[in-house]
Amino acid sequence: MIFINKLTRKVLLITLIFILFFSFQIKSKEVVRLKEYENNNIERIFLIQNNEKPFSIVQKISVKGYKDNITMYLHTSVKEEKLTNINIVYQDETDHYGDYISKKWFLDRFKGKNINVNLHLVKVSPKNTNDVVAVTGATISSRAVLDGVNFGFDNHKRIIADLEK
Amino acid sequence: MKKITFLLIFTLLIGLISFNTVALAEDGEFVISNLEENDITIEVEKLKELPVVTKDVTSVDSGGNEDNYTVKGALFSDLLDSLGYTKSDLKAVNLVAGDGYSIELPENVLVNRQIILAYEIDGEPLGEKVKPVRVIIPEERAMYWIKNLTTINVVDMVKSVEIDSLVLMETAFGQLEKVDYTYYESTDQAVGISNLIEKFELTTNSRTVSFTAADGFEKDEQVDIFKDGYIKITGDNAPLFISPDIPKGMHVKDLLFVNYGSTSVCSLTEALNVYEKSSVEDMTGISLKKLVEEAGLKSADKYMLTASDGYSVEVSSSDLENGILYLEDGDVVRTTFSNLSKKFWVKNLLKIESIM
Repeated sequence: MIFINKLTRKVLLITLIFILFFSFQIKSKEVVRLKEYENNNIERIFLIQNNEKPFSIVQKISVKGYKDNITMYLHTSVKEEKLTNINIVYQDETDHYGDYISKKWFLDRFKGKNINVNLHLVKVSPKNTNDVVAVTGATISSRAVLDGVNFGFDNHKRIIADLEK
Repeated sequence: MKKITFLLIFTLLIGLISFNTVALAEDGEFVISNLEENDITIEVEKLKELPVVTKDVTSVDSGGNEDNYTVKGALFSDLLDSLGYTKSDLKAVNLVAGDGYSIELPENVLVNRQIILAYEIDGEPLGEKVKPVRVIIPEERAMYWIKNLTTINVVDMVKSVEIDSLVLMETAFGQLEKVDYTYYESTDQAVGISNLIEKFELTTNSRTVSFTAADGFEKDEQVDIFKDGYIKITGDNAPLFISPDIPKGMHVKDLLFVNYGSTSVCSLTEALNVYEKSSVEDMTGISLKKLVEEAGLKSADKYMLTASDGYSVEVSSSDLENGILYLEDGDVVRTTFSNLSKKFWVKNLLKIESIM
């Protein structure tokens, strides 16, 4: 018979509880595609539910940039009504400037913004909480990203309003 | 049968014409504007009919990075010749790119340098972002090598203006409102150029303003663009000419002199980095005579030194040789003279003017 001391039993028990807890968590999250809210700009939209309650919305958004479309993924929190993450997944802007709109320091300017207030592009420094400063010299590309975010905000509000009906 | 044959030939001809039209459109075109008040569209196909120039060139950007290319194109002088002009007819031109970047070719560059309108680089046609042509000026820095050229705007000759007043940036900026300027990933302090112009009543009749940077880089910029800009006074590359509406390549870093009309605005901080230092008693700074000469201030028998509070003294040109300018606590501009009493030792020096 294998000897299991008290400490080992405790570790095994805690591990088992964790496994059960996370299994429950994974099972409780559900991803639903909301095709009816997709349009020319919003290519894909997913509602993530947690225990059957709306948790967050992920949108694949495409907008016209300076040279070509810019495609981004926008994550918004239903509970906090804030933008939680944004990633640029495709851009073909002018050399150098395209790189800038994909940089963390630029995208961080959007994080935490309230989805109930549309964002406003400024060129020098932010004065209001909904102001986002454009990348110097890349105003058109910056505006495209901001327009995409605003499309996403509008869509988010529409979805939540419909769900609450 | 005859009708069918005719229709076939007709369709074929239309097809050929359409194909050629598409080919022309694909190669692209640019405009020479204001050429005796006319705008002339130049198709790249036309450039290809001119004598072909092939050259190995090296571009050097502001950071000193080098790139080597073999370029093929036509000379701007040959294009002008085909239109009945020469480069000397133009005096100066402004090159404009599709993304809004623009730069003026000074007269000495326009007249003395070979300007290649390249339609092929390293044996390949130009990419979408570089078409229709890239301007290549061997022996000049990459800032003139404009990609995606849309317009060559013919402008008047830049007239040189005598400088009769030297304003010190450190003191002048101390009197101006500072704004937070979000510059890429940092937030720095900047002053609005329109405020600078208004506060110190700077005027110019010229269409351009001239920059000289600490590394010797010189550039002219259009006054309208300058007026909408800022000078970033903290952080990387300060003092930096910047404007939210212009591409990064048009910014000018480490400004030493900005000549606006008959006034030269000078960064003493940069001057102290560039020029040899002199000492008077226990203070070290830059010779007043040296700075006045480097700024191109009009030679005079006497000069007026004025502080930010309006206090002013007159010194002779020979006194300048015995005086220095230095910075106290990083931004307080002071003068000291080995041969003059303390009443000539100006604190917070704002400007030096030639008195005729």
